Amino acid sequence: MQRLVIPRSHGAARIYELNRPRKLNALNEPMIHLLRSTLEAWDSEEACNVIVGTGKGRAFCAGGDVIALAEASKSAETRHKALSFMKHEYELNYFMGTLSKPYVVLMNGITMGGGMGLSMHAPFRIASENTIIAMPETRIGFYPDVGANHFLPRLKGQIGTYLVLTGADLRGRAVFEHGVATHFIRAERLSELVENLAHLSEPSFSGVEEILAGYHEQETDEASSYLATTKGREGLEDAFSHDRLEQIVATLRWLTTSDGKAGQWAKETLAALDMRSPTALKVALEAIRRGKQLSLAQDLVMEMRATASYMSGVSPDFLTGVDTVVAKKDSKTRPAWSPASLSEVPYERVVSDFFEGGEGSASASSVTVPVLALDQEREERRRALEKRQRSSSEGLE
Amino acid sequence: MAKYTLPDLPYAYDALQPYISKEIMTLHHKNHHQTYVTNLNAAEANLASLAGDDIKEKLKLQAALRFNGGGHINHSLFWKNLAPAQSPAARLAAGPLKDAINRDFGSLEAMIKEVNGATAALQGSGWGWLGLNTKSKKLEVVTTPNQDPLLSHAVIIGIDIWEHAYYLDYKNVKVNYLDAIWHVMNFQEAEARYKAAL
Repeated sequence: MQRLVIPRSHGAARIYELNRPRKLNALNEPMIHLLRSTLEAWDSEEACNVIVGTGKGRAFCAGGDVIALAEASKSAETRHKALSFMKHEYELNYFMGTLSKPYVVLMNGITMGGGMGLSMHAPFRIASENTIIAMPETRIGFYPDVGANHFLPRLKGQIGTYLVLTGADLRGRAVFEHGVATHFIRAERLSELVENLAHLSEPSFSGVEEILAGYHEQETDEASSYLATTKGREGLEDAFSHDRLEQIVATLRWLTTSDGKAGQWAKETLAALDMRSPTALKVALEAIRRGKQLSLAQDLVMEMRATASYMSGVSPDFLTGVDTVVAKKDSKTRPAWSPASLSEVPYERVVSDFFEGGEGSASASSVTVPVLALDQEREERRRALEKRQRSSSEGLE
Repeated sequence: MAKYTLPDLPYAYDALQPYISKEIMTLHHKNHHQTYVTNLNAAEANLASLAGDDIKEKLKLQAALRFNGGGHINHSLFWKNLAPAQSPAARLAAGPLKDAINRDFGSLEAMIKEVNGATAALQGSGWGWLGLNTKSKKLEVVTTPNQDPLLSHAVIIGIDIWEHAYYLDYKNVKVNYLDAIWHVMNFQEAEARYKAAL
């Protein structure tokens, strides 16, 4: 039987390899449990000084098994399976974001959705020329979760808002330029890097940083993505710093009148937003705005609430999206979203249906929200640990 | 307890151009070698703080000591056996080393070919060496894996074949790096080592 997650020991390094290459290492429930138990063991193993995440094949991890999730969410009898999967996934995301050992993720390939959940919260995130990242959930009528609403708003500017709403991707060096990755290292150097990490003599964050600095490919003068240029950043900030979708759309419409690349970008972005589920867009925007103020644990609790609504059919768009885009592999037709336009989705309704448990909302009656088992102290301990280690001066006393 | 420090380069960071770039020398010295020194000190500090009978813990530290200690030794030797291309040290002058090379390999070119061949053939990361067999007094080509130091022979010349030594200049074309490095080889230092080892 195929081992879905292969654990390896090399010196002081503990390496997990996602091994489902024909499904681009998409996460299923067994993999979530394997990862959790493996990491629990490593995080408390004395001889382990660094944890490394990798994936076999051309993806690190392309996401979760959405078809199975959608199927399970259809009926009240099987719904708990979908909720259970999401609960365990979020708990894993939290655990990975609060490891006491340095955690290095080699995003050496497609890293999307659930795959971002495994990597975003790591202190060391390596992009190579093969990396492609995205949070494409709004394409399938869902919203970006897995702690994205904690991580993405903390990047510089509105790149996070752009990524969650459009589902657009970033590739190669651009992943580093926008801060999604902490380092950019060519794929062929990664095995030498792991060799080096294997010889760390203690679980030191600054020790890992030192090693990574020797492999990171230094900045070139030209930005690799339009959005990293001055003009690109301006347009991005102008359009995506609003708190309401309607304002974002209005700014983009105005920007389409700009010359050259700026106008073209605005047109493409509007076209992308038009294809997305209107409900999902509003949920995603509200989530990322709220997440900026939340700790990782608080953010995941918020997401569990919104996700529970989705898995309980509060919006039919998740099933529609999975059916059209994933099952039928149709990315050209606009799925039959319901409601079909932004103006038919009142903001207040989005808040009450997905974020609060107010009276008269769909939530009050039929949505059970699983309680996440998150030890909030882990986050504080980890923050203090990192701060102590990374601010310590070079050399020893 | 000894505290190891990063030795200064005997030349400027750009002195080995165009054969090895300033960028590589800077990263190689300030990052990679410095990391070995830092980690070696850390490993030794950990070792010193262990109880005398804690054998298990001592064994665990051995890998870190071997790797970082070897890395420190190897790189310290390496900087010294390089020299700017225009300096007189980069020529193999007439003398005992030149005689020994001709005797054991036939010619300088033949020796270079053999060292480069063995070094390029190393799988993974490691070092290529021209060493002196102290029993037979013959010059021989040796390789060591990872950061293992050369212990079986006296070190005459070392070549770092870890990717970080050449990647930024030569990408994955190792052989170009190996051809280039002989233009900046410090034969004077090599001869001094040879004489000392006889």
